[in-house]
Amino acid sequence: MNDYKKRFKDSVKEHMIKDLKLPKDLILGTSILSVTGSFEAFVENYKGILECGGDKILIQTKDGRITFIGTNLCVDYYTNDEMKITGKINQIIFM
Amino acid sequence: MNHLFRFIKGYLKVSISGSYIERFFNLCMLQNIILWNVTNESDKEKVLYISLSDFFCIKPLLKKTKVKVKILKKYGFPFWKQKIIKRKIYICGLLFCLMILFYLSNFIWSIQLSGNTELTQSNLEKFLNQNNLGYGIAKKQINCKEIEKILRKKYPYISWVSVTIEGTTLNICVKELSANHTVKTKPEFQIPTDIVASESGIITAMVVRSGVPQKNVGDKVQKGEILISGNLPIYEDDGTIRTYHYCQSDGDVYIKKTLSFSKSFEKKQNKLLPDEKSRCIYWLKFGNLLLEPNMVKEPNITYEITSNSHQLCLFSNFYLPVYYGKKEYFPLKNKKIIYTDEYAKQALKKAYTYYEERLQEKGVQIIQKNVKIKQGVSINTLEANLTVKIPITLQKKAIPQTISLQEEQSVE
Repeated sequence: MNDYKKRFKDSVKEHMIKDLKLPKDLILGTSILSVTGSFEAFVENYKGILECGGDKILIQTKDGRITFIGTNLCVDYYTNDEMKITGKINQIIFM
Repeated sequence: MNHLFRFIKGYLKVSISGSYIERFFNLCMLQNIILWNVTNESDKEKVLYISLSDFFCIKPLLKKTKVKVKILKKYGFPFWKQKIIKRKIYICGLLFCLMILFYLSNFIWSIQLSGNTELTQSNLEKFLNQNNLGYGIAKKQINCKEIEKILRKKYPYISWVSVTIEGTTLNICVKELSANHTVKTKPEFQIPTDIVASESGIITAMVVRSGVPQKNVGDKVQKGEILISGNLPIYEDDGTIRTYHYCQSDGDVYIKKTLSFSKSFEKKQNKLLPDEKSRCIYWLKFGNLLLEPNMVKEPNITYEITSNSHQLCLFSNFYLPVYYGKKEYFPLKNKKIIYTDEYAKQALKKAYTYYEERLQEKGVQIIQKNVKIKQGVSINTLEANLTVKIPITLQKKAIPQTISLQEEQSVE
């Protein structure tokens, strides 16, 4: 029953996005990831930091987790809903 | 901008260590505590920056997550203030400096003129000095509208003038009348004038706008002869002159003439040229007090001096009465220079075009020209024969002609 409700909600949201041309990140609450080269990444709509190291940064989002793997990774700044990561980014994994 | 706010509020560089650092970060995020430049020292130790006000709020979070914090460095105005209070003489000096700046800002230290072509900066400065409006005058004493009035009165070719004060600069913006738009002054009294010949020759063209022509095209004229008379005879029906009316004669009269121009250029020349090795001295001027070291000059050597000066300026408009600059002394040495034929040709051509331009400025029309450049062993010469049309009009006060009494009686 719950599964059916969730699927129904999702389909309604998808129709709204399509017909009313609303931004996806607002309606679905998905995270936005902007990457500049391999030295800067900008994450919006995240939920929390799970791991913060020089080689790996793990972030919790609504849909899942995003892992940044690289060297000299540094959180330049973070606020309630956005975060900037700098350093040499080698891999970005969505889990 | 963000940096400035952080500096004003004060911020700290801290090192945090513990097992649950990520949890601490998440809690900070939920409490709207902003952390920045989070760098990794080791797995259990991070270095980050936090604002001073937020630092006092993280105590419960540190307890909750069992994270230890250590202050590494303090930045910003709140910490700087504590240090500065101890240095009383420094503060006094700073205040004194600000007071001097404030005092000096009440005077004019720079005059900037724009939009001028005829009126020069030095002329304007002289004029302003005569009216007690030079450098160093108090801003209160300046009445911009009054200066505008005086300037318009003194220089009639200025059609528009605006005087404004910006900082310690007096900006004078002028718009001058172009050469075609000369100032029309009301003729107070019309003096009858004749047009006389300024040179002798044969008249080739003549246009009379007012007055009576005395000569025709093709006539020979001598220098000083009347070409157009300002005395207008009024005739009776029988052809006798009744009276004279007087006017200012106007017209153009041209004669044909041949001019010759020659110029020579020596290919081997001895010239005093500045040496590359120069000596520099720097000078400083406070108001009228000049501080300049003495330059030790070598005897029997002449120097070419180039100098520049700058006025000390704070921000964009706050000029101070402090000038500084550099003087460069180049010793002049006698050098033998051998010019190429091409260079000599260019120099001669330049001299000729300058001569031609000067003629055209005088209103001379060139009908025909024959220019030759002769190349010699040591001297190149340029010879030019020009057939030109020269205006020979010169205005001269007319002698009013009157009819003798007998003539007048006979007329009656």
